[in-house]
Amino acid sequence: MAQPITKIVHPARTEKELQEQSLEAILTDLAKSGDGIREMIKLFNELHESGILGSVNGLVEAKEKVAGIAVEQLLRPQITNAINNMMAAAGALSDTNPDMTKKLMGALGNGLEKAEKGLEANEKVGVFDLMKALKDPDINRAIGFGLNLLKGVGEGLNK
Amino acid sequence: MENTLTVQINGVTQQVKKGTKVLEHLLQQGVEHPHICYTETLGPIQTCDTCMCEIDGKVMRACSTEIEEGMNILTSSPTAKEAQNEAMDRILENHLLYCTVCDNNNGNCKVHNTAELLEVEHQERPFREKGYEVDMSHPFYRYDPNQCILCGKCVEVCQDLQVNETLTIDWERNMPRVIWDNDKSINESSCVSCGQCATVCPCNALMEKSMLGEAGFMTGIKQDLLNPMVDLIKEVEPGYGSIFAISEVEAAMRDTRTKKTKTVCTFCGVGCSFEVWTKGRKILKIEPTEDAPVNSISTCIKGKFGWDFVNSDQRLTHPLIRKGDEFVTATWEEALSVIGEKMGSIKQQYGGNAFGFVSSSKTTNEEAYLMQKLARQIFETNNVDNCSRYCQSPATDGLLSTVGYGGDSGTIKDIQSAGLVIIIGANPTEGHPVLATRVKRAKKMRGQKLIVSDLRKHEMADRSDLYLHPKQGSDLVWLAAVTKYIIDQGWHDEAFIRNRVNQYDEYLAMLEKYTLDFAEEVTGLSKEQLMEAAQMIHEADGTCVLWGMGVTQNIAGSHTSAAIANLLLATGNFGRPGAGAYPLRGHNNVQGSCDMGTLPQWLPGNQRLTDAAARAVFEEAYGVSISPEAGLTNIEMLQEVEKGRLKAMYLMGEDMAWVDSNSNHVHEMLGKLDFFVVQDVFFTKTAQFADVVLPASPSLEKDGTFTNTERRIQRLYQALEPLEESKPDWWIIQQVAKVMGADWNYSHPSEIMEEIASLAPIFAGVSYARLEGWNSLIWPVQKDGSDEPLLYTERFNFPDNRARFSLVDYVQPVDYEKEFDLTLNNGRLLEHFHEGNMTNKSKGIQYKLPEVFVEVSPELARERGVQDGSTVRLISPYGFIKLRSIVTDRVQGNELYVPMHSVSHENAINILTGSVGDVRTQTPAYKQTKVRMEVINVKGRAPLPMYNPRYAERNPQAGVQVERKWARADYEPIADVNIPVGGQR
Repeated sequence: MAQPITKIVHPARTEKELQEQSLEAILTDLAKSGDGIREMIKLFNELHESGILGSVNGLVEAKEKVAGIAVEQLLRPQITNAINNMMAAAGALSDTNPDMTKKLMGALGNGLEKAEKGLEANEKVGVFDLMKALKDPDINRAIGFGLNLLKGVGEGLNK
Repeated sequence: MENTLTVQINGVTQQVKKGTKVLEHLLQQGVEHPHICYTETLGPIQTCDTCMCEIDGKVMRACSTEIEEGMNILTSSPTAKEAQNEAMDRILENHLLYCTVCDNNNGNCKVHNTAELLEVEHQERPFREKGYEVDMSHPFYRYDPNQCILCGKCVEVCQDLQVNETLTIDWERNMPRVIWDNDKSINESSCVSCGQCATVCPCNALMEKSMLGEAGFMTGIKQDLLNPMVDLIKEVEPGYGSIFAISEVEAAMRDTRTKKTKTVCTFCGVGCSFEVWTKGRKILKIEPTEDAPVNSISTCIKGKFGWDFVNSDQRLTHPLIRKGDEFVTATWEEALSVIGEKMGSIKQQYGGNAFGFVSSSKTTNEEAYLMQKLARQIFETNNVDNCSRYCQSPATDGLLSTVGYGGDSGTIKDIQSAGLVIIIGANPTEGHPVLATRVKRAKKMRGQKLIVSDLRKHEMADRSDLYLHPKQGSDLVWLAAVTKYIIDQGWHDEAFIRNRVNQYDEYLAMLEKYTLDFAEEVTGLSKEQLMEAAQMIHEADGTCVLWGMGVTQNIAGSHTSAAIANLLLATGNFGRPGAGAYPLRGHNNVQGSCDMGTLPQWLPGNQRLTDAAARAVFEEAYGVSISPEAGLTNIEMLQEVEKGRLKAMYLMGEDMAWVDSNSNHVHEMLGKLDFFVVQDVFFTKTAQFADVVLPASPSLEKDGTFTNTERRIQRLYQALEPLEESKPDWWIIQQVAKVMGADWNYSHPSEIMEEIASLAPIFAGVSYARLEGWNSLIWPVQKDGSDEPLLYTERFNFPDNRARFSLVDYVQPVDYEKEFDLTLNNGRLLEHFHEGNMTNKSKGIQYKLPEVFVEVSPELARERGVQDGSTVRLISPYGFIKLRSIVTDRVQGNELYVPMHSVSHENAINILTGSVGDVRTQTPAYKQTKVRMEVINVKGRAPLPMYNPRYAERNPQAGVQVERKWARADYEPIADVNIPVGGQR
């Protein structure tokens, strides 16, 4: 003859029992991944001894503030300009033909080597030497390249 | 071929079916073509302009342009591209792309994906706010006008799919926006919280509040940090390509954390399926998809937002054992050993028939099947029933006796395509909301006719072409009279009857007395109304009859159900599309739990216990002999308890103490049991009487299948781990069998379904593989997997393949003493489910509908001095309840209405209902209750908050009305051709 009852007694599980229960679950997980855990402990020790862990912790604890400051800083016109510049530069670079860039970089290296030798020789250059140099096909090619480059930049600035 | 057209698409000659639109064709071919406002369900609404093509040199919309012979279609010519980019630019003026910190960045954001597809790098028109506040007023979703691209998809679903007619776009104001009613807050509007606007929104303008700050990795950031971050993005103005790249990485990260699981809704019998998105145990949102076979993108408030109960702190999390006057939590081992010991000794002493097993219409097919297996195999008794005894048994009975299958004749598609729908004693906009939307849509979009017969003037009655208000319990009479009138007029289908139906002459003789005069006298309906109904049936191209508890919960609900089948048989409305009989099953698995044989006279697969061959199959499989004698129904079980012959009960997932009629009596009987086991998700009233309470897992925590009202079998997948020590019901029943000595050894519900398929011929071809994902099967399913969405096209389910006219007669309603002068109607409201154990855990739902009340008609209110908020006492011969009143013309005269969603001794409806039941199935006649009313306090707070949608007025219009956008002075057409097609597919 059951009367309706609403009283539910939870066996007073002590704080300690609950703790033991969750500890047990964690231990099982730990046992399953022993190698990884040992590696992690090593890594954490290194990070701790070097003080990196401490600073990261500080950063994380103050994450909202730090993020706020960072964004605040980023919003300064100089920075937004810089970001825009970087992105524009990155964009320009990605538009350039990589083969040409390679060739140009090689040529620059070569030129620098020659220039260094010239410096070492410590030769004086006169007007006549310049005229003569213009006839040198290598120098002529470089000057032609420079003139065309200047023309291109000029056009670009006019857009 | 006449139906094929030859066209050039991007220079390639293609054959296209006549009547296909350009975008439709492209999508069918798997071509990625930009579009935002178009969906398969809604068709072209022409607001976003991003799908422009160059067609024969003209810029035209792909979504609305029907392909014509010889067309030259260019999808990405410079002209087409320019038009698409122009459209996207206009959209981005209205929408800021802060994708990475947006909760809608889940890989399926239509605006994001289209901008990316168009390779948008910069915008000409800068983004600007519209100058409106974000509307956070509603408990479940919010609208941010500043992110709204004005595509109007939300308006389109609200007006033409859900047909609640709340949302419009005010195109004429300086800065157009979506408005609710006449520009009210969402919360105060006529919005019924179906959530479909948030589902279809192609961006983050309309969002489920449960997603906000939760869906993304960085979206939980507080506003004062978020704003400068958004500003930063604006300042830096990177090409959008890089923004999209970052946001895609973030979306990919979310994908690893957000779990998306297909499930099937449990809040009614319609069988909506959708994905549930979870993050750990948190439910982020319900995400419907066009792949869902029944509901597509549609949901109601409960399916979209009503899942809080799953994480309620009131969940049962451990088994409980009664000790003295308290329950003590126990381990599964302890609880099962008590069950084994007690049930074992009762079995030994009194035999298996001293037990009663009650299954649930909420658990899966597999669980219902195991419940009857537990009863029949382990306890060798047929005393097994399920809670559809309280609702749907009479409908099933009426169909079994006439057409042979106890289920809907066809699918929701047939209801949608019928010429005429008749709804009798059902309130589908509240009880079966998504099914109701299809009727409302068919009516609004193509003039489907609607007849409603009901005591209460609910929304469908309001929308009907003919509303009948017969006297309580008299539907059979008008149905018979209308059938007789149709036959007398020669409007019946004589050939159909002669070829396919038995007992015609006997039926004609039986109909003799159902003249229009007789019907007028008994039902109170006028002859004109009856003749009009007959005329409408005669003129309709296909009639579907939908009915519910207003029919079944009467003293002769089974007779009325048979009368419905008779009417449909006489007019040839079986076995053809767009016609038939549709009892609206109220719970997710009413159909399935009956199909699974949790019935005292039926074996799994709807096989009669008296069928020796069928019995032999189960006897062999179970290794026991099965009696051909029917067992006890729920009702009879309690009667046997009273007589002292039934000693123990095992009940799964049903709050019988509040759901059965005449609660006081039920409580007394449950208290008399020697041993009582209850397994449920919550500590219900019923559980309070138990000796052992077992914690069960709800649908989101398990795998299985449900069978909806259409007979459609669908899979649900486990979205969450069972909470603490709760377990799926199939696991629990298996353990009980085990302590009783049987090792069934199922490791997954799919193995149970294999067993069902091997034993029940109508499930022969059902398997989990065939039901994978969004696939579904509608029984009977042949071994080769072919199913039968539309029944009776060739045969009725009798040995001679013919249907029978039922010859059962009208039975007068239950008699009450004169002092009980008011008819007490009762049933559901949209917001809550059943007695409310699940939905009353939702804060948002409780906020919108906090308590039950009694609806009083204006005339009765005047007579008795009742106002909104008056406290009244309702007294029946069985008990009394106290609640507050609402004066409304939804009810008339001396009829009252009380919703059933209460688990309180103060106002639970079944304290008032009596013990008389249907003459054939014993389903309690809940609807035949009469009371007297005492006014306790005239003045009081109205029980329904002013922000409940029932107070607001709808604002019907046809769709989003893009022509009003085009008529604006500042609208410059992008297309060369602008003809509104209004969402018509």
